[in-house]
Amino acid sequence: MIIERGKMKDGNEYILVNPESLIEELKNLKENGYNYLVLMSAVDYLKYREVVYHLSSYNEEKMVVVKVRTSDDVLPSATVLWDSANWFEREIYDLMGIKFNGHPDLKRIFLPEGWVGHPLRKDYDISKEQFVNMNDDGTDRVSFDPKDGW
Amino acid sequence: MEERIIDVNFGPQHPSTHGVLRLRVKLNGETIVEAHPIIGYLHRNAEKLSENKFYPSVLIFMDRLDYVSNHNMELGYVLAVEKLADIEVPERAQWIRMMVVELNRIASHLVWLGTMGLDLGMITPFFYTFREREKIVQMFEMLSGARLTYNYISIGGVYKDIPNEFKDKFLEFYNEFPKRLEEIQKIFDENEIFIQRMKGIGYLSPEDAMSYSITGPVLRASGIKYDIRKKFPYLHYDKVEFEVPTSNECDNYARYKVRIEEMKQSLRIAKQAFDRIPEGEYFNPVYRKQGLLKIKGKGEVYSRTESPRGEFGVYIVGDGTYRPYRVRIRSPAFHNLSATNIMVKGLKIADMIATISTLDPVFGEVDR
Amino acid sequence: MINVLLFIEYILKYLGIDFSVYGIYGQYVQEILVYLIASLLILLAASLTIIIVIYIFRKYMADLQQRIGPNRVGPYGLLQLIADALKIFGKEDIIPDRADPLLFRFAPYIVFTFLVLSYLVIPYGNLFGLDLTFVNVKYTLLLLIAFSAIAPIGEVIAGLSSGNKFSMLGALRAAAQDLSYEIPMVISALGVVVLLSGYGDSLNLANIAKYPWPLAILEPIGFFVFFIAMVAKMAVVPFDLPESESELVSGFNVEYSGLRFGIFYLGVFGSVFLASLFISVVYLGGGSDFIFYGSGYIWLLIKAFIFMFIFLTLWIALPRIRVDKFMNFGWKILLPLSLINLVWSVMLVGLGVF
Repeated sequence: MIIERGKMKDGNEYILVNPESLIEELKNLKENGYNYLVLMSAVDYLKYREVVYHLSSYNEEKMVVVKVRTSDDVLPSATVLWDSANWFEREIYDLMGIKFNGHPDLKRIFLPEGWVGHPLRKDYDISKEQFVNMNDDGTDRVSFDPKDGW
Repeated sequence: MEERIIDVNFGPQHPSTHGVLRLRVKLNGETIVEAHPIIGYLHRNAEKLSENKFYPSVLIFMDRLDYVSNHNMELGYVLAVEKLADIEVPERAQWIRMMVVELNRIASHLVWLGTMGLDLGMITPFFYTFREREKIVQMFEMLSGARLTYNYISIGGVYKDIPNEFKDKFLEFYNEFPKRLEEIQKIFDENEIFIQRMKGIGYLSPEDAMSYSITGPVLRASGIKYDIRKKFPYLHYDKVEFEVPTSNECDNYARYKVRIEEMKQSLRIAKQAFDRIPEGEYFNPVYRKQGLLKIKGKGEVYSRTESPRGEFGVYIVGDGTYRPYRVRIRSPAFHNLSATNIMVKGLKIADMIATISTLDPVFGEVDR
Repeated sequence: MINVLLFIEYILKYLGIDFSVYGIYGQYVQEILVYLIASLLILLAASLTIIIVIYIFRKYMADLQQRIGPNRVGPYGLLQLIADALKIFGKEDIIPDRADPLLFRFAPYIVFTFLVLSYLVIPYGNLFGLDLTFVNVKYTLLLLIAFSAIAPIGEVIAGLSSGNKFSMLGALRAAAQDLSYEIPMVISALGVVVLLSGYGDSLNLANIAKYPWPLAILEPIGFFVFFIAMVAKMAVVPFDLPESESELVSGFNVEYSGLRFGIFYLGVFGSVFLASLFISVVYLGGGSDFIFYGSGYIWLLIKAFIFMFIFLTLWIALPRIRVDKFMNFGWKILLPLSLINLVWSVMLVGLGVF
């Protein structure tokens, strides 16, 4: 269900959909020629998080933007439509903390597994240093104590 | 025979993972059963860092993304900011940008060609390609004073005008480079072992390429004629003549061929741009007077450029302050790398190395 | 013409060393001393040759790559290798926890010992009336092949004892490579043995080397197979699969450091020159006199250096072949070719052409 339509500053049209109909809308667009998932971004607006899908086509010169908002940080996964959504969603989960239902392998992609917090959130405290060391069994041990740093 | 599968960890310190790629590989003898790239060893979170910087200051992070083709990275960001803040750019600057970016593309492909040789066990071509790259780097040094992080393309134009000596240097390079390239190409193409190592290896079907959002030479080698410069022209790419090389072979050799052709086309574009650089301002006079720090904009913009590795996109959300609210970077090598597993399944270890090297990942950009 | 061993004996006599004090064992003591001196000579000569080969390799490679190469230490960078050796002596000798310490320590010496022993077996020809043949027994050809077959065993031991997966893969490759290229090499060498069967003990390298004309013209196939097999046995580019830097990091010697790594490094270059000598002896007339009496040794060196440059050029110019294609090449092309060559040699001898 499309909540809102509009134009972005760069001239691309965008549609805002609700999370329940997200996959359906993406699928519709994919069938209408938008077969190229250019970019998935997540923006933190404090009250809610917005995930932005830039879609384009490999055959035609067109582009559309799909936006979806979530306040409980759970969204359906687009991996059923594009393989590239796999790493996009892992990245968003890693840095923004949005979980994607139905993702085959949702784990952090850049940061170590045990990292505390999601850096791209506006409420993330960048002044706190984290030190990640490895336990004997291979799991991560995270501490905020500078003594554990190198 | 009993099959014994062993886990081998390639990297992050390995001579041919182009930086800090780590691969968790399941091996059956010499054959690869699975190969999963694990990234993040060079992660600096440029996106977060950008949120606390003024618009022109973010440029230094872009330089450090793809440190092999810095100009292309700068251009992507600069175009986005110019869209966001409605900044006019003088014609002269546009043409200079185009020339510089195409030269950088050649330099980047030369680095790729040399390191690909190293990955296959050839030491010598590396020195030949770096000799050619050195000439381009010297040209960039003339323009910007730096050899690696140029910071040349700036919001509102280019940082400095082109010096007089540049002209001769460029023409000399233009006349000499095709010969040199042919020479280097011969080392590869007339080598039976090289052909055997590349042909039919690392197959990437067009469907997979599309599903994995692959762009750039890797996509074009899979037979899809997709180039942002043609499809969504920026700068003046619609005013110059060039072709988009493609190949239907979908293998390592096709990627090699496409990149070689691209170098020739880039030289062509660079020459056309060089010839058409008009007289006039090279930097927006308004911003020269007031400085760049007061740039601000509200809204969301996405700029797409064709970097040597594929579509480089910058998505900026501006909230009307002097700092960007959110900067999102689409790095092409990130996606090209994500298709590693389907490409190397069932190949030998040596083929995996060759395949990854034809994907041409640069880790500053993959890990951002 | 006087044999070098006899020559050493005369020198000992001339120096007035008296062996009669050892009674009936005097003769044995003398013989042992003579062999010891000869071996030391070879060790010295081999080490010197290796250093020269490395220097040439570096300079030559630099030249082909439009660099200058070593040029800082000593005139023309001649002392660079000594500086490198000093540096490598100063490195920490690390033995990984997972390694088998005894075998790990032992492996480099196996490679190097049998390399030097192989140098001992080569007949170096006639140098101004001095016959530089150290070992003159019936089966020196087989002896040399046996020695050169043991060196890869050292590599396998090194790879398996390191306790590293990369080195294990390197060791497996070394073993496979050695197995599949030993056989064509031996069979193509047998072609020469068959050809020269009318000239006395043709399994004796000294006898093979006495035949002055290059047999490579008569047996081009055998020469080709032997050449390729030699490159494979040395394990240098394009066949450096056990080491393959870009795939297995450094293959069988990945865990080695310091002196032990240095020994492996010397071993590679030592085997390059050994292979050049081996080919020259078997297929190109070796150290037999040509034009001048007593110039055999110099001719041998010239031939060997030409081969060395060919090997080094291949090393510099070519990419690495893939492991399965390499094995196929060995078993499906080289082995049949070497058998054809054997039949061809038998035909030549049987028809009385040779």
